[in-house]
Amino acid sequence: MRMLDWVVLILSLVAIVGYGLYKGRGSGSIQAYLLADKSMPWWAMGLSIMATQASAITFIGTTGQAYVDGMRFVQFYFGLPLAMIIISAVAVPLYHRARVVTAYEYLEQRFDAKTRLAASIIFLVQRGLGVGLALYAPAVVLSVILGWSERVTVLIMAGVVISYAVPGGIKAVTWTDVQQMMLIFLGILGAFFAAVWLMPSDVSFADALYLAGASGRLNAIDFSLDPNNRYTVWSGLIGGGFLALSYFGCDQSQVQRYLTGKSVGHSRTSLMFNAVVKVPLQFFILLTGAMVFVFYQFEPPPMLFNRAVQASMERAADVPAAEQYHAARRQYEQALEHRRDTAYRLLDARQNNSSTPNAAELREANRAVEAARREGIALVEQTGDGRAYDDTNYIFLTFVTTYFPVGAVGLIIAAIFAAAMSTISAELNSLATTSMIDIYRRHFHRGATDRHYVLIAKAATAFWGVYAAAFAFFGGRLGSLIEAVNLVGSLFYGSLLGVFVLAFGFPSVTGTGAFTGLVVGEIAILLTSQLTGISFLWYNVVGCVVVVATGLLVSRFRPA
Amino acid sequence: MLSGEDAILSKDFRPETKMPRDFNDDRPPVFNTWGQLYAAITGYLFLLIGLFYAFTRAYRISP
Repeated sequence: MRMLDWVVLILSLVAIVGYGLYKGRGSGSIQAYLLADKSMPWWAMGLSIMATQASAITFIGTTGQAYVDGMRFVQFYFGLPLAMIIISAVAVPLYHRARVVTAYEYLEQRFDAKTRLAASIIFLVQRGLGVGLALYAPAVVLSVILGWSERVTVLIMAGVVISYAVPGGIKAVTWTDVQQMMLIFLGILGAFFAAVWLMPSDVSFADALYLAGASGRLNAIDFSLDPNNRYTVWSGLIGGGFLALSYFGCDQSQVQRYLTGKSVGHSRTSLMFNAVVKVPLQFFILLTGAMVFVFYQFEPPPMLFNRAVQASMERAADVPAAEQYHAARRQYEQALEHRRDTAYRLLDARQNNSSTPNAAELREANRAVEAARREGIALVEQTGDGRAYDDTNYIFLTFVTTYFPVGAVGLIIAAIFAAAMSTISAELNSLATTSMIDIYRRHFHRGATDRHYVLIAKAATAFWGVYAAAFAFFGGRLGSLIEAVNLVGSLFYGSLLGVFVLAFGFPSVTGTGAFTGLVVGEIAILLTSQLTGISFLWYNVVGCVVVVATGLLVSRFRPA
Repeated sequence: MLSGEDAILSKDFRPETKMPRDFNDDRPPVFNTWGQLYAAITGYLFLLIGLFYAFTRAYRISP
């Protein structure tokens, strides 16, 4: 990072904090602090919903995903518009009329206290782990790419978020989300145009698309019916739809966004905004990743995108290991050169309408590069602590920091900070809300003043912020727990959704039925994850169906 | 109307599980009813899938 990049980054962070503190003024009551006095317009809520969901890893990981695997990940979002419609039609008006602050309050109105408590605890565990990861994951990547201390990065992110989220509440969080989403849009646009502009002068955008297609990177749609195939139209529409229903309809970090709406209409419109914009936005981010892949057909990419690991391999004290690594690197560089030549010859053949070379040769050249890279990766895994090496999240930032002009690097880094902070701030705010409303006020201290509850909510926000920073500080030592954190979301969302489906859709279901369904649904998901190889996207479907079936059955034989 | 924590403490309160017929809803920003908007967005989704499929086919460069 050069001076101008630092100026861009620091000015962005200062502007975010300042704006958040300004907008968060007057949050002295619970209604103001937690629900913004129900004053939010649809477009602010819509951008906040989008910013909350788009974390830093979404931004840098999605582009890396397209580089490695192509664009089929876009299918993951196909169910989102349908989920938004269902939530808009069913949940939004019921939440508004019930005048709840949290989604789980509605569960007690509908069922009983134990169902509410179980759901809120599931949320706190799941989101608590999630907020730690939302802070840890980008900090790791940024620290490697930029050479910063991981802990300093964590402290900066957590510190900035806490500084406006604690005093300003949801007003500060939502309005800074709007600002941050604008920055993210700018970053994405800038990244795409830079990737295309940086191509060799004799490679047009049409050529780049052709090469990406020839390399199998423009594989956006797959109609395969294989349930073990992670990303297909069907897993996206159905599995992704259930996941979106659960996340946007039952997770307080999203529900609280649209509970701040001026009216039911505004809340609904904010969801429809996401239904329209999200899928094309993801397509565009993935296309950027595909363009980065094409760019690296002409400029040699590193064998290992994690610079820290690459440096340690090159300086390895063990001489035989170092020699093996250098031999693998030479083989890799030869494969890269052959691939570049093949790409140029393919473009010439296309212009001259010749049939040789053809796409098969380029695919073969790509496979040779990948095979050489895997040899290098195998050496890393042998000399390391045995953990699998995955540098997908480092690809995009390596590209940015190596090739982007001065100032643009700062903009992209600022956008990544914005993506991380928008997610973290909303999660802290919702964790504090559930802690205060569903646990503290409900079970420990009723009848206190608004001022007391606002103070508790602020303390809870600060607590969860410190907790997230502590989690991120020690994250490196947690090893496989990080993988477990990623799994937690997919293990609990289906059951939570099932309980809300029972609440909204089946008036005859009792509290006992709902609670029993929740427990049995969880067991079903755990068994499915352990005994089958189906994609995690289907766990939500399994969980939801089992919860609903069990709830109906138990309620029939044990009516209240 | 009781709501939130007050509702929970009231023995007679029953939460709504479907909207009453006299519910006065805002009109959507486009179209006359929310149902029409939902149908349009559903159509938009399938149009997107169609466009992405055409894109995939166009750039599935076979040897």
